[in-house]
Amino acid sequence: MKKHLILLLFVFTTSCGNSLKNNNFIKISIYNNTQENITNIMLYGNKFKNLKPSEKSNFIIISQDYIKNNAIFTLDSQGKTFNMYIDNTLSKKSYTFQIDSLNIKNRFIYYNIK
Amino acid sequence: MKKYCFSILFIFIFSSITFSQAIRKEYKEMTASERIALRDAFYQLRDLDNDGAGDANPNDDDLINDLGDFHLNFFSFDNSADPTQPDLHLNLPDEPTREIFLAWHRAMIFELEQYMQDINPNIGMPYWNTIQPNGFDNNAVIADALATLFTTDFMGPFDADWSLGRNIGAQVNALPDVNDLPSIFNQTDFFTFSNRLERRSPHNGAHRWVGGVMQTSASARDPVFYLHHTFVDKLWNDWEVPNQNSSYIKTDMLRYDGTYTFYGVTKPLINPNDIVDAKVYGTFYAENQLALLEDYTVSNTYNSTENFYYQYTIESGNNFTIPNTKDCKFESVNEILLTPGFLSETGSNFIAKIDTDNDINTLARNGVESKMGVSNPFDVNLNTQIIIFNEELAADNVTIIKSFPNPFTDKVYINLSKEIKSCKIKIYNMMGKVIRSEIYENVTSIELDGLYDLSNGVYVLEVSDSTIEKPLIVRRLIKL
Ligand SMILES: [Cu+2]
Repeated sequence: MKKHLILLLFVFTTSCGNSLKNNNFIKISIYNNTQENITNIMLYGNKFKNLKPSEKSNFIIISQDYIKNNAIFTLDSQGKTFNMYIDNTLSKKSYTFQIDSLNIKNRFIYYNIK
Repeated sequence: MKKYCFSILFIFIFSSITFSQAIRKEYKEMTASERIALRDAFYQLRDLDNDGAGDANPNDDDLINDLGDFHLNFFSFDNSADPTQPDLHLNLPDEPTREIFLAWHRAMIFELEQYMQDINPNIGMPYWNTIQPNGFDNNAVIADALATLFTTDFMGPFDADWSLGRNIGAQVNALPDVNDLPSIFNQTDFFTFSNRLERRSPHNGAHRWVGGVMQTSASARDPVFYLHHTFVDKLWNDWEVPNQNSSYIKTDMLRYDGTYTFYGVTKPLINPNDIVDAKVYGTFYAENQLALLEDYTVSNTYNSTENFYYQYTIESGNNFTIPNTKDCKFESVNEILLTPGFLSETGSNFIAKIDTDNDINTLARNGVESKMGVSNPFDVNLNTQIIIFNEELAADNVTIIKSFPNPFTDKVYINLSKEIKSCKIKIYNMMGKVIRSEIYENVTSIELDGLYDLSNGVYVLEVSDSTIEKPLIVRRLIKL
C-alpha cells in the first residue's frame, strides 16, 4: 500500500511538475500601449478584460491546444472590429502581448510579444 | 451603355444558380499565358468600367475592394458588442445556426471567377496547395514561392501596387504539413470537419505565412487570398466527395441574401445547402496533370460556349453530356481523352482543340490587349513593425493560486493571492465530465469539502474568474 502511494505520488509530481515546463499551458497578458480604449479582446480563444490606454490585463493561463487551434487575435477599438491570424507557436511559459498601434484600414494589430 | 450591358449579363447568370464551368488547377500547372491573364484580370477587376485612374467614383466598380470590404466588415462578430449579428467566420463549434464559412467563400470565389471569365472565358481560379512535406524547410518554401508564386508575371506586383504589406514566410512554422490533414479528414461530421479545417493550419497557415493584410480580416484584398481559398475549397470538395455529408442550418448567406447590390446588380439569394457540391458551379479540380470531367451536363448558363482549358490531360466520360443546342469546348496544350459515357448529343456543338500555340488568348475584353491596369493602393502603411520576441517578464500580476492538500481525501483548500469577485471552481473527472461546479463571490480562500465520496484517481481542478470565463489555473489532483 505504501509502495503504491509513493508510486502514485511520484507519477503525480512528475506529470504535474512537467505540465508547465512542457508548455501545456502558457500565461498570457495584454498591455494596451495605444492611445485608444480597447474592448472585446479575445486572444487564442480566451476573453481578456477591456483595456484603457496604458492598462495591462491579468495573466490568463491558456492551454497549448487552444493556442494551436485558435490562433486569432480579436478586439474592438474606435468603433471597428479587428481580427488577425497570429503566431501559434509560443514556446515560453509567459508572454505579454503589447498592442502598439491599430491600423483601421488594414485592420492590422501591431503588437510586440514580450 | 457598357454598364447596362454588364448588368444584364450578371442578372442573367445569377438569376439561376446552375452551371458555369472551370478547370481549377494548381497554380504551378498554369501556362505562362494563363499566369499573365490571371494577374491582369485581378487588376482589371478593380476597375470594371475600365476608365482608368481618372475614375471619379472608383469604388462603385472595384470588385476586389467590394469583396475585400465585405469580407472585412462581416468577418466575425462573435466577440463584439452584438455577437448575434450574422458573420462569416469562426462560428463553429458553438454556433452551428450561424455557420456559413466554407459555402460563403465558395460563393465568393465563384462570383469573382465569373467576372474574370467575362474578361477571359478560359480563366479558372487556380489553387495554391500549401501542404508541405513532413519536416519541410521554411527557407526552401520561401525561395520556391518567390520563384513561382510571388513573381512579376503573377502574384508579385500586387504587394507594392496595392500596399498589401506582405511579409512572406516570416512566421516560420505557419504552413501546414501532411501530418495536419488526417485529424481533419478523418471527421465524418460536417461541422466538426469544417471547424477543424477553418481553425487549423490548412486554412489559417497561409494567412499567417504570407503576412500583411493576408493575416487580417482585410485578407481578401490580396489576390493570393483567392488562390489560397480555392485550395480550401478543394479540400472541402476532397472531403465531400467521399463523405457526401455537408449540410447547413442556415438557408441564406450574407451578400447572397437577395438584397446586396454591387455595380448595379443585386446578388441572388444563395442557400448554402445548394452549393455543397462543387459541380453545381461547374467546378472541376485538376490534379497531377489530369482534369477528370465527369457527371456533368453542359448548360451554357453563363457563357455561350463552356470552355474547359488545361495545359495537361483533359479526360471526359462517365456521364458528361452536351445536350442538343448546347455548346462546349475542351482545350488542352497536350491531350484530350474522350472515354465511354462522354456524350455530345445530335445538335450540340462540341470542339476539342489542342492549343498548339500555347496561348489562351490573353486579349482582354473589347479587343484591348491584356494590361495590368491601375495600381490603386488600398492604404499605405509604412509603419510596419517587426514582431520581436523579447525576454519574458520577470514579474507579473497573475493571481497566484494554491490548492492543497494534494493528494486529498475529503477536502481541498484553495488560496488566492488576491480577492476575486466571482470565482468559479470546477472539478472534472478524467473522462472530462464536470463533477463539481461552484461559484464563490469576493473570496480569497475557498474550502471545497464533501469530496470523500469521490472514487480514487486523478481529477482536474479548474479555477476561473467567471467574469472572463476562462481558466486562471488548471491543476491535476489525486484522490486517495
Ligand atoms: Cu475568410
